Parts: sequence; structure tokens; C-alpha cells
Amino acid sequence: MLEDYEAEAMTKQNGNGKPINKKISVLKSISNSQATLQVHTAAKEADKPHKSGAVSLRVQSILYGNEKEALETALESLSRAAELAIFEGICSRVDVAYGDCSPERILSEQDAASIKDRFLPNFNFSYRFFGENLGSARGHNELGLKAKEDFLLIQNPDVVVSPRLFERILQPFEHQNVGMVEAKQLPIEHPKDYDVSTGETGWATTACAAIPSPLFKQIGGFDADTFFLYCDDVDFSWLVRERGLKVIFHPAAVVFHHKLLTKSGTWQPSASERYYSAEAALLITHKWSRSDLTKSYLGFFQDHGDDYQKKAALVFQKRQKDGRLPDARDPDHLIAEFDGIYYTRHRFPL
Amino acid sequence: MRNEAATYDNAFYPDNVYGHALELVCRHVQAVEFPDDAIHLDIGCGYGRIAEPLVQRLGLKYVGVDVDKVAIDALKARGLEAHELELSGYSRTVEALSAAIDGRRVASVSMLDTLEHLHDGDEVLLAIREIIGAHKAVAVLSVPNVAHRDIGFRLAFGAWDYTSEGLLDYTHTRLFNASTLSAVFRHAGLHPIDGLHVEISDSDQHFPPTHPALVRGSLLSDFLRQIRGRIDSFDTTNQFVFACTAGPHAERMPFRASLPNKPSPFLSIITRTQGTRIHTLVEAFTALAAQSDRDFEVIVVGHRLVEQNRKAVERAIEDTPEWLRTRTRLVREERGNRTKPLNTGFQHALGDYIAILDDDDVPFGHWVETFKKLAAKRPGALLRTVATQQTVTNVEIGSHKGVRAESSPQNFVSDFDLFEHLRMNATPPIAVAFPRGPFHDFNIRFDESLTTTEDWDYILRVALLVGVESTDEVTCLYHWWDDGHQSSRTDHLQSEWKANHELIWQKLDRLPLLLGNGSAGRIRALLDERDGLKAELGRVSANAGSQVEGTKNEILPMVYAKDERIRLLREIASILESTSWKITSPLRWVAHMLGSSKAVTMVQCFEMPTVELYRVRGLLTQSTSWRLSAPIRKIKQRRR
Repeated sequence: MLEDYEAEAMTKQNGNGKPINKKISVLKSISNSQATLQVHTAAKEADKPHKSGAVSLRVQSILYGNEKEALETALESLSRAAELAIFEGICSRVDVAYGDCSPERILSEQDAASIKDRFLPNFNFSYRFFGENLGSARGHNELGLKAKEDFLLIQNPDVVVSPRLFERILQPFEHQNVGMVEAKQLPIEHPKDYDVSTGETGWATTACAAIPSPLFKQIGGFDADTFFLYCDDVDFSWLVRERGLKVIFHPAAVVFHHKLLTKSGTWQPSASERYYSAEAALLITHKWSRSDLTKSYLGFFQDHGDDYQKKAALVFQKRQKDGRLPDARDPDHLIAEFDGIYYTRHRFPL
Repeated sequence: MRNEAATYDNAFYPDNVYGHALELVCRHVQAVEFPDDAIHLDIGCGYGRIAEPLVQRLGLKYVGVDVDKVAIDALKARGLEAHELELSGYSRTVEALSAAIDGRRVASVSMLDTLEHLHDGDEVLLAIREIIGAHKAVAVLSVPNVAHRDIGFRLAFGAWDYTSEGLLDYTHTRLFNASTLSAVFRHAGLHPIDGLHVEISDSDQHFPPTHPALVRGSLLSDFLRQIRGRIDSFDTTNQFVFACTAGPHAERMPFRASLPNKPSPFLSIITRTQGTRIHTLVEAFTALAAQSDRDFEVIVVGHRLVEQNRKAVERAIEDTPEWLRTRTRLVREERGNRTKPLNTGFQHALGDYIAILDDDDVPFGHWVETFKKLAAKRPGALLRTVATQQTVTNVEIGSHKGVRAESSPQNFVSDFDLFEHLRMNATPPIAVAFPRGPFHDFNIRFDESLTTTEDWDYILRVALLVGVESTDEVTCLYHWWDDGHQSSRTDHLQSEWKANHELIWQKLDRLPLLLGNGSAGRIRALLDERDGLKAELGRVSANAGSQVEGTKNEILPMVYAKDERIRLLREIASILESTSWKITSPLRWVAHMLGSSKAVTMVQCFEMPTVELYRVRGLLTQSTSWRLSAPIRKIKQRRR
């Protein structure tokens, strides 16, 4: 998610990051050295493309206190994109599933039925109220692990898709070794670097990203036990790459994700973003065997952090004490890339 | 109404209404063959001073008709045919005129300075249309112009005086300007085919001669004249003189039944495209589909679209969600430079405000909403928001083109400073919305002689007329192409940009300016600053001794550079010494621990070249700790 960038910016302090010359080509070398990795049985899946011919697609979003008007705007654009994708033979069917983590349901049964009627036959709509805040990772798992469709398109509920999004974002799956494709966000593009000829990148935000459903299930979805709100997509991307599959950023697959810039041209994270991003930074550095970074962050949060960061440090230590930290992986640092304050190389600070 | 104060016995002159009317009659009758007894029918002829010159030039028989018996007798005394009759009602008028025509062929008709006296002029015009239609004749009609600038300028300041005759003759029952006369003609089925109007700069309403809105040397008069002069070409027209033929009647009555009740959108969005970068157009449309306020229409102006590009643009429009598609129109413009499509788009706009969204820019989700909020604060003003600029390139992945951002967004200046804008532009077109009035009511067009910077020119001309309401809200992204991609920046030579810049300055210098509140204070401050610099220059000169005299021209920029350097140092010092910077020092300590460069000090800054100071300022304002501490500064600002 876009917020993961903010999480990085929150937990680390060097706005420009240390110049690191690693390029995306590193990723290629990773693919070439799969023999040294813990290659999963799914690696064979990489030998064949995930997509050929029309596919079924599930678009899923987790709601939390969203405005109905924003959802309607998003659904109207989804409807047109689905109509075009079905007409062009890209998709055989499109389903849109909302999972609601809000304290009170955003859509009444009547609202949901009305949306379903309105957007048929372009897509089939379903709405599930969880009755508790599962977080985005667990919410997506609840929806996606039982999906029958060929592909999942995981996106924020307020994302407005471009008309040809499905065609564009599914296109890379026609090639071998592609496990996840991320759309480009407007108005401000995520600064992660990517290969300008292949689109290959270090990780994909799930503000809008497509994943083959079987792969999502094989991986077991997002690591919801570890990540509540942030870094679930960074972690998931690295799990995809751990299987020898590529993560692709597609600049022609465009979505609009409303964000405001501050007067100085930067983003201003909210209080919850500051807490959860600090928590996620500790957890992801631990999980991907960068205990040196975990220690640095922990020390800083404890000694110099704000209230949110101090709280995140306490929670992390409690998990550590209770033995609830995830197992560390990627001991040789072949997958996870911590570039200065970022989770992959960035082209520019934001 | 009979005029008891004047006789209307005016002489014929080639440059008065008679001369112009005769010229028009000659233009359209001379080449036509008529029987020997063909007549020219002069309705409301008065003393018929056109008669003799007309007979002499065309050989037609003159027949005058009027209600004024004295005038009719005078005509008859000159050996001319004249009939006394009253123009009233369609049928009676047709009947009376037919009797005067008496079966002869009518070659031409005139009704000069008469319509404005009639209580049922529309009926008389219908009768004239009937006559000229039946005879395939031309009619020449004249009326005074109530929109002559002398009348308008006087009325704007409360003066309105009828006179014994002339533009505001006290017996006039109806008043006309160009558009009302046109509507009246259309309603009657009279279609102008030619016009030769009487122009008088200082009309009979040009009084008193010292009136500040009228007198030639007055600044106010100069200001009003330059505005009025560009609205239409009739600001000094004393009398309209049109040649008309008979045609179909317009059903619409020649007056407004009520104020326009057609709901217009708040904003018309004009998108220029040549259809050569559909991938960026799709981005612009996607951003429009995400607007929080949908009170807008989109006019895509396809400029010189070749067939393939036309289809691609139509496809892109067709692809948008239905609600957006139904409020989007494609208008084609095959002529002109890049400025022409703006005039075309603005001409088609129905909105109260008009914004420019070029096909490679991206509005934020609250772009329209922010404009609307600004308009509510100050209706009719030019609305200005803040754009952020980002360097981009094109990439192609999987045979699809995409846009790749290459730099951090850099905001344009937050405040709209009119004085700064008089020097150079600091507002890309996507950041502003223009009120409808200047274009549609005042005919202020984009200057098509400009091949670049046409937006700056237009922003200034509108801002100087209606003022500006601005916000520091960042609402849009302005793309800065860095890979030779086609754009206005790459399409035009630097010398061309400079020439256009100079041209805009020259245009500004020719105009009197209307400045908003607070301008006097701003000018005082600028002059104080100038005096300060002069004093500084004096000190530098004194220190430099005799060498200075010969190098004054080199020193002046040095002083400005010095001023800029001081400004930068002050700015850096204000950051380094701020509370928010001090309390976030632990963050920088960790950054240092993680390998970032050492902290900069003021002492180091004093020794840096100016160019390095720019870099330091950028690093500081972009730093994480400065950004994170923004809320603290905001709170402090609020407390102030």
C-alpha cells in the first residue's frame, strides 16, 4: 500500500536515504540463484504463465469508515472497466467483494442489494460485514483465501480505476515467472524504482495489485498474524519473489488514489499511520533477518521516539517475550531489500 | 411620438446616415436590371434628403412615405412623389405601402432612423419584409446605437439625458444595440447582408466635456475605452446601417422572456489534445473520474487531429464511465497554433468557470471541489490554487506506454502575487479557473499571436480585471517532461519563449491597470526595498573606490545576488534555529547512525557558495524530521 512508503519515511530519518547502487538487476540475479533459496514446490508454477485467454477476476477491498460517495465513485469506474474487459475478452467474469472492518456497517443490506442490482451484469457484488476490525491483511485473507476466481485484484476501496486497467494489469501474467502486478497510482506516483523495460520491482503496494488466486492461497495470503495495517504487502511481495516469481510495476495500468500533499509537497502521515508504520518496521526487519535494523529502530523508538513509536517498541518487546514474533527468513538477504530508509530503492524522496 | 423640438431636416453627406444608406443601396441594386418605372420606397422619409442623390445615381423613381405632412409637402414641392401615411400594424402598413407602390416594381426600400420612433416597430418590419420578399428587393435600415460608449460610460456613473434629437432623442420609444437589433431583424425575417455603420467617436452624448469617464485624457476614460473597445466593434458606432433581404422568421421573440434558467455546470474543463499521447489523456480522464465534486463538463478540443488520432481520442472518451462520458464533448479545431484550441474550447464552455486541463496534466481528487469553495468566497474572481510540478518521462512496458515520475513534486509558490506575475508566470494553467464573464461577456480572448506563454498572458489580463481568490491548497500535478517528449517546452525555441515574454510585457505597458486592495502598500514596500538596495549599492561603491564607476552594471546584479544569498541564509537559519528543528534532533541522530551525512551548521553555510545554499535549503525542507515536525509549526502559526 502507499502507506507503506509513509511507514518507511516514518520510522527512518534520512529523507534522501543513503545512495545504494543496487539496481533492479539485483532481482534478476536473485531469480538466477534460486537454487540457493528455499524454493517452494510452487516454483514449477513459474514455468507457465498464469494467464491465457479470458479469466475470472475478483476485485476485493477492505472498508473501514469509508464514505459511501467515495465507494460509489470507485464502483462506477470499476463497472466500466469490467464492461470493457468482458467485451474485449480479457475477463470471463468480474466479481467485486467488499469486507467491512468498520465498527458499524457502512452499507445496509438494502444498500448492498441496490449496488448489486445497479452494476449487474458488469460485475457481481458482494458485501460482508466482519463486525470487528480485522485489519487489512486478515480482512483480505478472509475474502481471498476462498476465492474461486482465477485472479485477485486487491485494492483500496477508494481507488478509482482507469477504464483499461484489467487489460493492462493482467497482461504481464501472459509471461512466465510473474506472480504479482501493481498498478500505477495517480496523482502522485509511488517513488519505488522499477526496471523501465520490464517493470520488475522490489515489492508491490496493494493499493491496487493483481495476484493469481492459486498463488495467493499457496502463500497463505498476507501474514495477518504479524502485520495489521502496514508492510503486509511488502512482506507478501517478498514471499512471492521467494518463490522465484517476479513482481511487476505497470505504469500503463493506472488508478487514481486520492492523496493530499502538504504545502511543502510531501505527505503528512496521520497518528495511526505513525503507530502502525513504526510497529510494521520493527516486525518486517525482524522477519526478514535484519536484526541489526530492528535493534537500531527499537533503540531509537525507546530513547528518542514519540509516543507512537515508544508504544510500538513496547508492543514489539512484549511479542518477543511472548514468543509471538514470526520466524526469521531470508538469512542471506537475497530477497528482502532495505535501501536506506526504504524497502527497495526509491527514485526520489517524497 | 411627434418631435416638437426638431424637424429632422438634415442634409445629405456621404459620411452620414444618408450617404451610408445610399452606398448600401447602390452596392446591392446597381447590378440588377429593373423596369423603367421601378421605385425606391423610402419609409419614414421625413424631408427625404437621400432622394435626389439616389435618383441621380440609380435612376430609380423615388417614393417617400411619412406621417409628417409638412415633410411630405416639402418633398412634393421638390417634385418628388410622397405619400402621407401612418405606420401602424402589420396589415394596415402592408396595405398602405402597397397603395403607395401602386403596382410598380420595388427595387429597394429604406427606413432610416425611424424604427426607434415606432410604437409597434416589429409589425412594421414584418410589413417591410413582406414587401421586399414579394419584390425580391433589398431594404436598408438604420437605427441609433444605444451602446455607444458615451451613453454607457455616462450611465455607469448615473448620467442619462434625453436630447431633442440624436442618440437619445426624447421621442425614441425603443432602444437598440447590435445584438437586440439582430434579434429584432431575425424575428421579422430580415437578414442583414451588408452593413456600413456611421462611426462617431465623440457623439452627441459626449457631454459634459470634462466628464472623467468621457474626456480623452482621463485615466478612467482610457481604462473604460480599452475594455469597451474589445467587447465588440460597435463602441463608437453612432447608427447601425444594414442592408437586409427577406428570409425565414425566427420564432424566438426579440426580447428575453426571463433570465436564463438552463442549469449550467459550475466548471467547464477544457482539454487540448492532438491525440498523440493517449496514455496521458487516459490519466487525465481517470483523475476526472475521481473528482469529489462532479459539477463540471469536459470539452476536449482535438487540435488538428489526424484520422488515427481522432479515433484514439474518441475511444478514450468512450472508455470513461457513463456519468463522465455524458458530460464530455469532443470539439475539433483544425486551424491555428496551440492557443487557438483554448479560444475554441472557451467558446463552447457552458460553465460559470472555465479551467484548462491539458492532456498531460493530472488534477487531484479535490481539484473541482477546491475551485468551487474559492468561488463561493469571492464569486467572479479568478481562482488560483497551487500546482506541484514533477519531472516525468515516457516508458513502454508490454507494448503499452506509461508515464514515469523522476523527481519529487515541487510546489509552485503558495500565494498568488500579482506583482510577481507582472514579471513572470508562477502559475501553470491547471492551477487556475477563469470566470466565464471575461471571455463571454468582455470578449477577452487568448492572444493567438502568442505561440507560448499564452496562459500567463490570459491569467494576467483576467486577474487585472476581476482580481484573484487564491488558496495554498495543492490541487494538481503539472508534468515537466524530461525526455524530449513533445510538449510546449520542447516544441518552441528559447528565443521564441523570450520574444513572447517581451511581447506580453509590452502589452501590459500599454494598458492602464486596475489594482486590488493593498496594492499601494505593496508598491511602497517594493520602493523601500529598492531604496535599501540603492543605499547598499552606494556603500559597495564607496568601498570599491574608483573601480566601481566603470563596473556599475556588473555590481547591480551582484547586489541582487547578495540579497538572494542573504534571503537563503535567513531561511536556513530560521529552520536550524526553530524549535521544531531542535526537538527533532534525535531523529537526525538516528539518521546519522544509519549512515546519512553529518548535520549542516550555520557556520558552514556562511562559507558555502549560493548555489550550495539552494541545495542545503532543499535538503532541510525535504528532510524527514522537518516534515514530521510540520504540525508543531502549524500549531505555532495558529497561535500567532
